[in-house]
Parts: sequence; C-alpha cells; structure tokens
Amino acid sequence: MRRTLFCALALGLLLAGCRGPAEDLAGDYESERVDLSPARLTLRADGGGSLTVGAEEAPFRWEVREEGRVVLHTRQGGVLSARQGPGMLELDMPGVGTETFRKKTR
Amino acid sequence: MYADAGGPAPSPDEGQALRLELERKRLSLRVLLETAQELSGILQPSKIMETFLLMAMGPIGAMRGVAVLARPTVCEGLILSRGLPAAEAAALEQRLPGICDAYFSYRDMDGVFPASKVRVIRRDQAGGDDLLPRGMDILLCFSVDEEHCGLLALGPLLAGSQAQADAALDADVSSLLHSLLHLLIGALRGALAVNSIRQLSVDLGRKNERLTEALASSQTAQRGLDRRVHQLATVGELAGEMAHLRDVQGILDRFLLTMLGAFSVGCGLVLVLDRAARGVDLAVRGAPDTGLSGFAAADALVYKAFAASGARSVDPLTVAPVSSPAISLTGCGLAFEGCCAMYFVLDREVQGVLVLGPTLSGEALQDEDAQMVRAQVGTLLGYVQGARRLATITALNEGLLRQNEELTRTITELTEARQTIALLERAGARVRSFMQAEGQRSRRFSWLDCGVILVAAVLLGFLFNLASPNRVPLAPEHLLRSPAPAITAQKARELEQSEGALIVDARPQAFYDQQRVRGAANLTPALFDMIYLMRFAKVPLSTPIIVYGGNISRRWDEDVAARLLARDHERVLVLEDGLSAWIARGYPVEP
Repeated sequence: MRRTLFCALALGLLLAGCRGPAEDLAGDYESERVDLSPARLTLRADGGGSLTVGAEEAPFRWEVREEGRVVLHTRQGGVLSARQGPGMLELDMPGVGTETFRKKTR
Repeated sequence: MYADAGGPAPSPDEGQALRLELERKRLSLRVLLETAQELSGILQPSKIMETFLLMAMGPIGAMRGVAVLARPTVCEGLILSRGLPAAEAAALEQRLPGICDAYFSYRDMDGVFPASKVRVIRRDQAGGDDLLPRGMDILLCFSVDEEHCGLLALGPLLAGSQAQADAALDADVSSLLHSLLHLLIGALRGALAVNSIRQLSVDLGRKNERLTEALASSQTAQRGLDRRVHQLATVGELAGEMAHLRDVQGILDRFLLTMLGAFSVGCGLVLVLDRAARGVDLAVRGAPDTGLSGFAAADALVYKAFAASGARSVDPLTVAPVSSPAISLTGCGLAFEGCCAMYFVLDREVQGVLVLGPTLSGEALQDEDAQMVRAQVGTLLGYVQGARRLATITALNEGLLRQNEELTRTITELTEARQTIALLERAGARVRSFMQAEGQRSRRFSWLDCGVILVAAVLLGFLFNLASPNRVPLAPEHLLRSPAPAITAQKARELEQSEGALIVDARPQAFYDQQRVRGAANLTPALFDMIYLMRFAKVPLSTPIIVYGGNISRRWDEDVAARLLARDHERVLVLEDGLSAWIARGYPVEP
C-alpha cells in the first residue's frame, strides 16, 4: 500500500514537472473592462485560442517567446503581444491600449 | 793518654796537666754545645754567619773577626766583620771579588769544590795579604756545598804571643775551630737547603699561577675554537641547504635562521632591495615586521646602512660592516637594537643589509665573529645572485616556451589554412569546371525547358496556396469587389464635425504612430477581427465611418471598408487621396 502510494506520488510529481509554461498559461481569461460585453480570451494548450466578445469570436494561435512574452498570431497575419502577470495577461492592442485579462479559476 | 790502674801513679805536675787538659776539653764541648744551640733554628745564612762569628771569637780569644760566605763562580756573597772600625768594615765589603780570587782559587784545581773540607791557611801562604785587616793570622777556608764557600779570619788573640797562638792552633784550638766550622757548615747547608726549598716553593707557586693562567687561556681558546667549529659546521650545512634553494626569499629565510643559530642571536633581519623593479625581499626572525617590506622604508634602511658602512662605491659583491648599528640605524623601523650589521651590494640596482640583534648571552660579538658574519654575507651574495639569475633564465625560458607555443599554433593554423586553401582551390577548380560545364550546357538552352519549369512552379505554387489555411487570393480582393463610396477631405471634415463621423486609419501601426488624423482610430486588416471586437463592437451601425490609408500596391482602406460593410455598417466611406488630402486642406493631425 505504502509502495503504491509512493509510486503514485512520484508519478504525479513527474507529470507536474513535465508541465511546461504553455500548460501553465492555458485557460480562460476575462477582461476587466466593464463597458464591454463579457470579453473572454481563451488559450488552449494545443496553441490555439480565441477572443470572444458577446457572440462573436476571433480565432488565433499563440506561443510563448523566450523572454516570457505571449504572442498571438491572427488569421490575417497580424501579431499581438501580451505580458504575463500573476494570474493575468496584459494585451497590447494598437490604437486601443493595454487590455488586462484575468485568468478564471476552474 | 790515661794510665792503667795497675801502672805507676802520676806525679802532681802530670795530674795538674791532665786536669787542665780535661777542663779544656770540657770547655770546648760546652762551646760546641752552645754554638749548636744558637745556630739551631736560624734559617738566614747571614744571621748564622753573624752568630757563628760571635760564638767563635769568644772561645779563641780573638779581638777581631771576619766571616765570608760567597759563591765564587759568580763572585757574590756577604762579608761580616766584628771588632773592625766602620770605615774598614765598609771597605772590606767592597773587596769580595778579590777575596774570592785570593782564597777560593783552589776551586779551579779539579773543577769541583771539596765538600765540607776545612783548610787552615797561613796568612803568608795566601795571595791576598792586603785584602784582610792586619793581625788576622788565623784563616780557615771551608766549602758549604758545590756552590758556596766560606772564609773565617780571626785575630789577633788576647793572650800570648804569635808563637803561643801557633802552638794553640796546633792542638786544641785547631780542633775546636774545625768542630765549630763543621757546625757552621751544617747550619749553613740546612739554611741554604731551606731557602732553596722556599725559593723552589715560590717558583713552583709562580709556575702554578702561570700554568693556571695558561690553562684558563687555553680553555678560553678552546671555547672560541669550539664556537668557531660550530659556526663553520653550521655554515657548511647552510651551504649544502642553500644549494638546493631556488628562490631569493627561501634563501634569505634559511640564511637568517642559520646566522641566528650559529652566533646565538635572538633576532635579526636580512633584506634585499631591488630599486629597478621596486621590489623587496625580506626575512625577519625574532621580531615583528614593522613595515620594512614596503619599498620606501626598506630603501631608507639600506641608504642609512650604506652611509654608516663607510663604503664609497657600489661595486658588485661588496660587503661592508656598518659601524655602530645601534645608533646609525635608529629611526629606520627596526623592531630591535642592531648589534651587528652588514651592508652588501649585489649590483648597482640591488643592495641589501643584514642586521643582527643582541646575543642570547648578552655578550657582544667578537671581531672574529664579525669577520665570520662578513664572510658568510659574501657567500649569501653568491647564492642570491644565482637565484636571481635562475629566475631570469626561468622567465626567459617561459617566454620562449610561450613563443614556441604561439609559433606552433601559428604553424598549425598556417597548415590548416594551407589545407583550406588547397580545399578551396580544389572547390574553385570544381566550380570552375562546373561553370564551364554549365556554360557549355547553357549554350544548349531551350525554351521548352524554361516553359516546363515555369509551368511546374506555377502549378506547385497554386496547389500550395490552395492547401494553406492562410492562402492569399489569386487576385486582390479590392479588384473583385465593388469599391466603397469615396468622400473628399472637405466633406469628410464636415461629416466629422456635423454628425460625429468616426475616422479610421487602416495603415499599419508604424504609419499610424508616425502621423494620423486627429482622433482617428487604428484598425488594420491584419488585426481587424480582434481590434473590431474590442473597440468597434459597440459602435452603432448608423454612425458614419471614414476610412483612409493606402498606396498604389496596398489598399488597406478598401480592405477595412469592405470588412466594415460586411459587418452591416450603413455608412462606410473611403477618404479620397487619403491622409495627404486631409493635410493639404490643413485639417488637424497628430501627433
């Protein structure tokens, strides 16, 4: 029994150690703006994602650069950059400014 | 002489004569006894002669007397007289050499003195008649021992004529004088023997003192020799040990330790100053380092030692003692009182000083010790110079080794470069041959090949674009769709002011940041979906939107206007001639 528990704990630690920064970032983020319909930024673990405002959705792909910045690639070839914070993402949008998205806890 | 009991009885005259004879003999024996008692216990020969002269003159009846005790071989002795006037007695004392020659000449007859021999000499028989006073007709010479002789002169006698004196001498007086002289000889021999023993004892004492002094001197010399042997043995060991040392600091440490041990000194230092390299090698024992390892302090100490040494030049391998080091080296940072110091020169730039403190016994070093220290400093110079030259040679060897390594590396690089050049030359030859082959082949160029390649490339490109999710349209979209309605800059300005038209800059962000219509929003085709959702989703569809931004090749304004129209915005207009028309009108821009 004790050996089984030890093996399970070791496997859990191994799997936790195998998690990369992408797995840590993946999840749903919600905008703090109150004048906007609930704006949700979804980062999937497979590198895909979407920005959803109301009923509309804009798909993109995302990646984490070496310097820790999160880069969003739109389908039209545009690029947006976001900074990581504790439980949040700050998305720099040209002409709009910085939009803050807080991660939703599951 | 005595008659037998049975013989005829003596006559009265004979009995009287016999009684007188016995009385004379008794008197003679009594004189001898008294003389022997008087002479016993006297140890001075002069006192014996004086006493004897008195004792002899009385029984004989002599009015004057002279006694001589002499050493004829050297003509020394003493003359005593009785009954003579003072002047005559003083003159008599001056005649000792003549008396020796006159009365003791018999000594030359057989070369030796007759032991205890008494001779009666008649006055007319001796050669020195005028040496002794007149009237002294009884002369007796005697020998005391092998060196001393004596003379007894008596006369004239109180009673009788010269004839009576001669008759008396012929019998009892002569016997008495002989007996008295034998007593005198015995007393003199004893006194001379005692005096000889005393003299021998004194001489022995003096010789003992000299021997004791010589022994003490030899012991001192022995201690000095032992110390010197110890120093030489220590120095010999030092030479053996320093022969294996290679650095100056190690040599100085070892040398100082040996010097302190060899000369029983409690503390000391030895310092080598290199003025060219501004370096100091210092060894200190028995005292703390008071900053002499610094160049300035060491330089001051060496200069003071040079000034006090009396050396007037800095010839190589010079060693000079420093006079009065306790005074001359004060104020140089020495932690102890220097009792012996040596200034030495290795060469013009390298000099040094050795300072030894007081000995453990408190005694000052002797001149021989100072000479030994000086000689050993000279030996030290040889080792230090050898070590410095070895260091120089080692540095040169290391430099040569580095240069060899660099040369080897250079040769290796040159070899590799040569190989690379050869490889490149071969590659160049191949390229040239290939180019020549291609050139030759290009002469066989055919339009069919070109057409096949072109068609294949177009076909592959078309298939790739068709399969790509980010494919580009085969023709620009704005050419396929109907253009959005246009508006002049003047109309756009009026529409902005009257109806609050929203102005959109469709150019990329870099152009937007550079210059834009005041209040315009940046909405590019690439980021249209996301920017529109975040900013334009709440804009009423009836709000007029004026879009500008484009050039000959890229019509971002048409693309954005088409997308806005696709999102059912009712009034989307494209600014004619874009931002340049707006600026030409003088309408506000930013920044």
